[in-house]
Amino acid sequence: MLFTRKALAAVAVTAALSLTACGGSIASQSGGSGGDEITVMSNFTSDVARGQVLDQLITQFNEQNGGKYKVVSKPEADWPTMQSKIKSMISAGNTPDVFLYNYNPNDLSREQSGKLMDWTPYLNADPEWKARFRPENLTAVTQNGQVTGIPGDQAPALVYYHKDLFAKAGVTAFPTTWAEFDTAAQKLKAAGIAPLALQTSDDAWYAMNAFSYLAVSNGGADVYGPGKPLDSPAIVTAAEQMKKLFADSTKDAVGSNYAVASRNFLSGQAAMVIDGPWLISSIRKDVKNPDDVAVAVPPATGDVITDSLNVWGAAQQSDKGKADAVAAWLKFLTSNESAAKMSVQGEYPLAVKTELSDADKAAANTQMQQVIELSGAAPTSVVQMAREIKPAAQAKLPSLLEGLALGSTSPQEFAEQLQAANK
Amino acid sequence: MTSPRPPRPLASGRQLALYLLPAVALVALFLVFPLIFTSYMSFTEWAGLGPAQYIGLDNFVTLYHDAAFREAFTNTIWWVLIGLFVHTPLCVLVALVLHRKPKFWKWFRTAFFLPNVISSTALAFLWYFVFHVSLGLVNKLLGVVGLESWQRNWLFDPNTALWATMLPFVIYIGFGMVLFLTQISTIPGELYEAAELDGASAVRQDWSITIPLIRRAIALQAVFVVGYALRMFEYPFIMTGGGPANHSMTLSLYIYQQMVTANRYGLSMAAGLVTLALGAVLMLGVFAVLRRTEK
Amino acid sequence: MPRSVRWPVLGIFSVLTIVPFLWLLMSSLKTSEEIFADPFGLPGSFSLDNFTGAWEAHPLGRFLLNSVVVAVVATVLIIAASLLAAYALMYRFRISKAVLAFLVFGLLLPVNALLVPIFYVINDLGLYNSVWGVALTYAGIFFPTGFLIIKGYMDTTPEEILEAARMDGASFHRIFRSVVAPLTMPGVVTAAIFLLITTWNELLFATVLTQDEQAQTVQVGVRFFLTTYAANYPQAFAATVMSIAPTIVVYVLLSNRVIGGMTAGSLK
Repeated sequence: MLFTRKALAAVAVTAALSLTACGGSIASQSGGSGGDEITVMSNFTSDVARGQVLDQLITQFNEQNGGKYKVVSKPEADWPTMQSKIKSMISAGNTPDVFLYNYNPNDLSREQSGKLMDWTPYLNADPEWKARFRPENLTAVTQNGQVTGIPGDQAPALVYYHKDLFAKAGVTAFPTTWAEFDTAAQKLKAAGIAPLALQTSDDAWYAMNAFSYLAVSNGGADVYGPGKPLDSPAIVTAAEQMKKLFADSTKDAVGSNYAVASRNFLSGQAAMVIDGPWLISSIRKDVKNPDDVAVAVPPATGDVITDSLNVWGAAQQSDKGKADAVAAWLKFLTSNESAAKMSVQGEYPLAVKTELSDADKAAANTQMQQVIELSGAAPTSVVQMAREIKPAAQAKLPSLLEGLALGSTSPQEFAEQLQAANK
Repeated sequence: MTSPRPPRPLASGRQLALYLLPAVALVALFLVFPLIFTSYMSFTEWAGLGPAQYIGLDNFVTLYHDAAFREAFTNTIWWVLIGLFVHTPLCVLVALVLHRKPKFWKWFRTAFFLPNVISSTALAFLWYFVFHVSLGLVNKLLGVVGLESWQRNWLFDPNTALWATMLPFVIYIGFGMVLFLTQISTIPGELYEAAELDGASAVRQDWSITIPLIRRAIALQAVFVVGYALRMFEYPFIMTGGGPANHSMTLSLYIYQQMVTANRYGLSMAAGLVTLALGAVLMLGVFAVLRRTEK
Repeated sequence: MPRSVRWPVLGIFSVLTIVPFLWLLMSSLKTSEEIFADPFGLPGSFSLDNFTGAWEAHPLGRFLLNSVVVAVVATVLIIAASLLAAYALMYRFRISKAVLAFLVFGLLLPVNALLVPIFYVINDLGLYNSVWGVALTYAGIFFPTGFLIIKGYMDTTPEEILEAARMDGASFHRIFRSVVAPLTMPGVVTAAIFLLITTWNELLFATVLTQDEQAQTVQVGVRFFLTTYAANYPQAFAATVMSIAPTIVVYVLLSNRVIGGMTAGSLK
């Protein structure tokens, strides 16, 4: 029976090793007692400015409502992952209390799930609060007469560029046409600088931003709007130009993710990037002379800038106390005071009317001031492409862009396959 | 098993049912029901939320026209082919070397088997870094030996992506090696002694004695390779995400992406059904070849 | 194989197998600058900063604990169900062959193809984002392999011992408890090793069936070190080392049994 004893010893060792590999207990963390606790899911992690402001606001809110309501932040840095997680949580009947999601008129699966809280009674009871939001944003999230969410932010995607690198390459002014852009790109390349940071992994955010602008400059503001064919000549031309942009990017553009591509820009390997204002936080931290980075509207957009609306969704609550906690929190977050703090200190403008005091304006950094100015000056804003096409087309876009960059997909095929997936 | 004159007490039907119940329940819930569900739902369009809509063969038509699925399908076949005709011969080669019990052979066996106990996730991470364009082992090594021109973005170059995701699988020969070693150890030593007396070389012995006698293990290995290829998810998922432009996509990753990223549940299950069918065809093929060689 | 190829073959495969691991271990001790500047050099100073950093950046302890619970629960479930079923199948009855086929056919299925329906099974059981849901799923999809290993051992129980027990008037249950199950213990250990390692290493189902650190296993957690927004390579290296350390330790201590366990199911 020696064999058996040895065998048992083996099991014991295995078990002991695996158990000592970790401490802590298995007890599941259920909601604590006292007050209604709600969790807020966002990508406001505490290592970035907007996350720090969110944490401050939550502390402030919890203190004001001591014992009654309690907000807990559950940040997830990885935006695409967080979005698919939210979708599976909703389909699993496990909708998060409050969550930030990417609004897409072509994908209303969340708004139509019947599992989101209806904000109508709260908005009607408080017209002053309701007036803080742009009516078109509220209309966007209205389904069957129910307002299914509260507008969160509407971040414009703009060009951030290193003025010093432009000067070094002999480019004096920011290009206003794509032809000028091309000339500037050649000069930058000659100076050993990649003109534009692009990236195709995950949701291909940077490449998609660039493509959205190319499409808009060729086909106008509603070039990829709902119901529009994606194999139109404007999209094909945009794809041709996009191919050129890839040639003007860093060598690792195909396959790299946001972290790599944004670092290419921040470190000065690439002179330009098209991103949202959350990049400012990293510019202030990681660029040697942060004030050398300026903000501009991409060439030939015809006074159109692209942006994306993110919405705070909330789970239907059977418990009235919890529903009130959710409402109280979002009212607090969208108040002028919170919104001003978020845009100045958090470098993240919210999608509500925000009156900045002169002190606030002075406190905002160079880039933030420019972002506020540019988005105020642009008469039209258009939603980025990935937010206006169907999820299937959206899922396909990164690999199609890669095909374009690698030359394995022609601009014509690119447009046709995109259209096929958008049905 | 049971003796011809069964002594008392025999098992009652109820006792047997009771003992079989947990196992039957597990298999029914996680293998049989999902199989039926998949076969049925493959003919619907379903976003996961709300009702599914019957659409006949549309999903299969969509798959047929989808460049990503075609890549996934052919790449999975490549995984099978490379597994059978590159990986498996390497396993046999190492088993043949180790079976002669050279010095430290046990140490080598332990070392070669090591990757099989480590998660593919961690191995994929490791190889992601090995092939990394700027800090990877491969490009740095090429730089050291003066072959800068060979350096490339291995994981995102369409010519190399698929092969880079496959390489760890090809060179981790431990599992097949042990399989073959075990089978070789059952071959009677006299066969080799006789061959030795006839003056047959070591290569000749391996070729005409060992290999024919381990064909059952080779068939088994083929079954494993097919199963492994059809389940291949971790390497492309972590190393390339299936890119660039789907050049390293596999069927498993495609199923995952259609479900999680594109929310096309019906299409995802249709791809699942194709995978199951491909698996059945390949397994039948392996068994047919085995039967023929045993005749 | 001729002697001349012996050492080249062993040498090449040793390098291919071992060097990447050593490189990983060494890199996990370096700073980011050192990794980029000199990927082959030794770390400038011995520091566990990456390990403590990784431990703090994500709840790795929790992930490891979840992995332990999932692996142990799934293994215990499979072994219990397999022992019972294999014992029942020692008796011949009208449909015993069909039952056997039913229990092992899953061995040939590419189970990843069943991702969507299994997600809904777990969800409808109310076990989404729970370690129990992941464990139960593993118990289902890895059952056929565990069962075959255990049945293989159980079938070698000498008939005389069973006969003697029956002569003594032992009941159906008693023969199982006192004779068959104890004699199958070596098979149980083999199966347990195989199942613990397999379930510890699974990624796809663990990704889809979980949503936060309440249920995510270490395989899912390690991926957080290398996502869209995180590119902290040294910490990613350290986290990888920590995720594979438990299996490597078990393997080094028990390599012969582990090798036997991982391949036993196949040759029986």
